[in-house]
Amino acid sequence: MLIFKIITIAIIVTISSLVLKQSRPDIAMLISVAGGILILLMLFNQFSSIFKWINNLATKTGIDNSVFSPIFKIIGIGYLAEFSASVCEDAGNKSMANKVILSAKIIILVLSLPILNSLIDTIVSVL
Amino acid sequence: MSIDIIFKIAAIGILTIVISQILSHSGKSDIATLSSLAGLIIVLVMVLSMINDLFDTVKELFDLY
Repeated sequence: MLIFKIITIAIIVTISSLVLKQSRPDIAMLISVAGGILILLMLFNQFSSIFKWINNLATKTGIDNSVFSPIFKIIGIGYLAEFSASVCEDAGNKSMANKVILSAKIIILVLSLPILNSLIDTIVSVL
Repeated sequence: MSIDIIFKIAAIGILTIVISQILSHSGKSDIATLSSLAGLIIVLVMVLSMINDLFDTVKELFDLY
């Protein structure tokens, strides 16, 4: 099962970064970044199965793809922003993590504006 | 793309620590700092290539251009 692999990688990464923490904190932080990337890369084939399901849901219900592509973008941005923010926080740089999270929120808001517009148009047309 | 990259990076880290210890004890402390810097740069290049792979897969999967 995939989850066992991920658990073992996480434990091995934590132990090896602890080993290197006293004398070389920078390499220890790089090890945790590499471990995080490994786990994220493993998760991607799970994601592709989710997206296949969403795509044939879209074709079945007839909703055109222009609604779904911003949603995928937002998921991707949230995914990457959370990863880099936790890496920055791990390294002790909390202000950088908050900056990344703030910018991700703003970018997601900008991306979701067209969807909000179409929602408001439908509401107005109903009234 | 599996666990051996973590072991490679940890091995490089431990090697740089040992080399810089030996060099600093044998009197050549400037070479010791250089060797620790070189180890850091090697690890950094490896992690940067992994980050590049991550961004490529994310771009391709979420079509984030």
